[in-house]
Amino acid sequence: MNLPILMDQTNDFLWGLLVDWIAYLGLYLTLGLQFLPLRHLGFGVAQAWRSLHHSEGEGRISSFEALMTAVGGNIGTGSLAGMAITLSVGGPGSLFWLWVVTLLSLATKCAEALLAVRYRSRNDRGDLVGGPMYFMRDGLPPSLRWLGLVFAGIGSLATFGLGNGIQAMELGKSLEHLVGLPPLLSGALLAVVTLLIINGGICRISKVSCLVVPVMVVGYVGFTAFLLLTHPATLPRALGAIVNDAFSGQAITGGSVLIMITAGVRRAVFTQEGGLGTTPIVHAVARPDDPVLQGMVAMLGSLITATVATMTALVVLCSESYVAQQDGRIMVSRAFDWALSGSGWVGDLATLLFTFTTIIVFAYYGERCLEYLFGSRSNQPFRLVWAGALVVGCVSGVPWLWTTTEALNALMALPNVIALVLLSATVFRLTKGYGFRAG
Amino acid sequence: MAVMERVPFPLLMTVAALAFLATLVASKFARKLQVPAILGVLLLGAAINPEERIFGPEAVENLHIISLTLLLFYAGLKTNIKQIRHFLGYGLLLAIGGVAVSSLIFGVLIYGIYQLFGSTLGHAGFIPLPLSLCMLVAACLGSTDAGATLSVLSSVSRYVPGRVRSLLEFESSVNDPAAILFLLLVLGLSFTQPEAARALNDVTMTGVAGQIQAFIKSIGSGIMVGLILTYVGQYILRHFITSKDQILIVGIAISVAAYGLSTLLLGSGFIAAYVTGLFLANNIYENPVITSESLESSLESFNTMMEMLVFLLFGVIIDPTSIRLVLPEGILCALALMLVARPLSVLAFSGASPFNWRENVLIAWCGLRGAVPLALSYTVIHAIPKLPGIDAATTRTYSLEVEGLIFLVVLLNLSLQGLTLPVLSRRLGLQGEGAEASPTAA
Repeated sequence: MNLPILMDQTNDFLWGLLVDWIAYLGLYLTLGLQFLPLRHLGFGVAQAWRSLHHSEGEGRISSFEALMTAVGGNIGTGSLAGMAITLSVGGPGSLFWLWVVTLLSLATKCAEALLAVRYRSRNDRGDLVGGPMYFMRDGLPPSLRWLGLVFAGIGSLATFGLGNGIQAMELGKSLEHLVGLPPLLSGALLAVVTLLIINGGICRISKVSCLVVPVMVVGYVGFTAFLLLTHPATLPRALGAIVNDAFSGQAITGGSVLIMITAGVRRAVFTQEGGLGTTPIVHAVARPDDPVLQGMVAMLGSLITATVATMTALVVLCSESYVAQQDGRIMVSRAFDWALSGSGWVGDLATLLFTFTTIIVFAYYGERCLEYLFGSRSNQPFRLVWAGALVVGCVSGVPWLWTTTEALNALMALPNVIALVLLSATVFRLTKGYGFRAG
Repeated sequence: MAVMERVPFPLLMTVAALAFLATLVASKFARKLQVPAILGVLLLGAAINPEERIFGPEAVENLHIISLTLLLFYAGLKTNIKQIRHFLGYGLLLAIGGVAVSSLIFGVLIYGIYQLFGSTLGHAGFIPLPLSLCMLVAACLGSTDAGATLSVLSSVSRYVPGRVRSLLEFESSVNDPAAILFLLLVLGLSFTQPEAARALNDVTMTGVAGQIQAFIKSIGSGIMVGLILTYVGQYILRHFITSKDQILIVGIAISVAAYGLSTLLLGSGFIAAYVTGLFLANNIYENPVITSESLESSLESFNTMMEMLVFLLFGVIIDPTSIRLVLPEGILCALALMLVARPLSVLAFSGASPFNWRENVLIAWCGLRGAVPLALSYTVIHAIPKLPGIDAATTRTYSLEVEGLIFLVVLLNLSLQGLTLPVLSRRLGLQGEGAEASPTAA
């Protein structure tokens, strides 16, 4: 049995379990929080907005910066090429299920960030740090503290797949497509720029994210909305296909609703990282030290990410390029070309920006995971290795990287899901009686 | 179904009601003899045992699923984590590890007994059980019944330390789901066909991995569905309950819903029912209106009724030929469980035990089997035709043997251990409640 087949089977094994559990976890936390994430959506928006002008308290970045950084990490190739692949595997109906899971996993996202802030800690240099490994270490009973080590160990490997290899590969391809840059050159360029940014730590990463992310999200959503408006006749048809397909799955999967739901749930998990345990790492260091507030801000990230993915999906659905079932990046740029002739490059530009922010944000995630294991002396070597891996990723597309990454993500999500269930009582207790007043 | 059609329904109702009333007489009688009350009910059922089958096999299985669901829900409600706070780790080890160790040993012992003595003691129509079935029978008999134990010990409670009592109650509640998990695991593993796997190298991985995945999924999804329904249950209890008499409805409905929903979602229904009960009672969320005690007390009589139903039903529908079929070996198996498997499983974890050896001896002898094994036996019997490598011609014999074996082991277990427990606890000279506090946990 060779490695790719083994990886495929490991994937099926792990995700066969996790897809259900993450959905149940979302439902459980939503019920436990008494639909709080949905009822107080406005509170999160108000707090994020307020932190733009006025942010004080203990923490290294403001709530808005944390949100933008997390969104920068979230929106990557998964919201573009990945979304197209999801549609080609699961059919139009999977978009419906993506939204069902997104709304349910708002509670998961909120709970993760809440716990990360509640149990944040300081590293050996005295810097504020946090994330699932810390809430596993300090929140769980002593006999289960090793889960934190497992999470950090797998997390430091998984970030290389999800946040480095795959993104660098897509970024290299789109640069080649856009300006004809050879992969080695774009890899080297990317490595240098990335190194410059991640050497500045979370503060510099969040500053860059704050500049790039709002522009690219608003720009992308605006542009795709414009494209859809230029084809007013096709949009109702696409929406109709989503609704019709959602419960029958006829379009692609031949009536297999399960495949469609699985595709939708997997996409939701990969793009929004709800239940994966990565975004809490950045929300943990936000100002002020208020777990519930940060939780409510954190879950907005899922909504923004889901919106970006949905816009991609709608354009792809309208163009019907997903039926051809080919490379995700090609499906996206063909969809753009269909909507506005010669605009295929927008897809590439979006891929370039989205993957770039993901790369710098995931560098922070990986660094924290490794630091948890080996202390802060591992930070500098990690940054160099991270930059080096980008060059490798750009030059040589590793064929089984996707499946390996998926398997590692599953192994990362598993301890996180367990910890979230075990610590759910803390989440419910902290939110109880919290004064949700904007301002 | 034959009897049900011919006998007029009012007559059937009268007979059934009288049978239930007679269980009370049998219970009282059993208590007088210092054996567990349920033993009396089991024998009563066997005494009623009509010539013809009253219920079809499907009706029997469904009745057992419903009663098992409620028994497990109640077991969850009764699992008191606070009471054994000081030795929770050991309690879990004994309940989960103990089931695994004793079932493994017991399964091998049944197989050994059948192989060794099958030829000498065997008689016409007797076929030794294959190893997979022995394991399944052992897994069925993994769970203990605290109610039976404590009803026997009530007369000698002076000699039973409170800590041992708490441990036994906890163990018997937790090992119900543990035994079901072990049964699921054995069932799953016996469904993988080694012959087919060897022919195609890749299938081995997929087959075994698939079964393991299904097993893990049944635990995880069962727990998650249980948690979700706990929340639904809490919500209903908090907002829609206006008087205490309505609690029973919520309890029954939530546990049955937990079973159904979890099974539909490929989880274990019994685990879901147990988890729902566990969290409803142990109250991780504040619940100002209803206490876990009121929940437990309102379901208590219903639980007793279900337990009686399981015992009565098992006695009523057992085929007498099945007991004759396993008679000499069954006794050996019962003795093997009491004298070898259970003591060894307690001994295996004695390193982690906060109890002294006298208390450990008492714990080892308090392994009375109750309603859960009887109800689970139908799961096994139902699975026999689906097991690989089993001839259609021998299915009937195997079913009878499994039924008879479980009946005999439970019967002997209840009577022998029940009768000797008071004597043993007096002999061990332990101090019980009201006496000086027992040595604190290490």
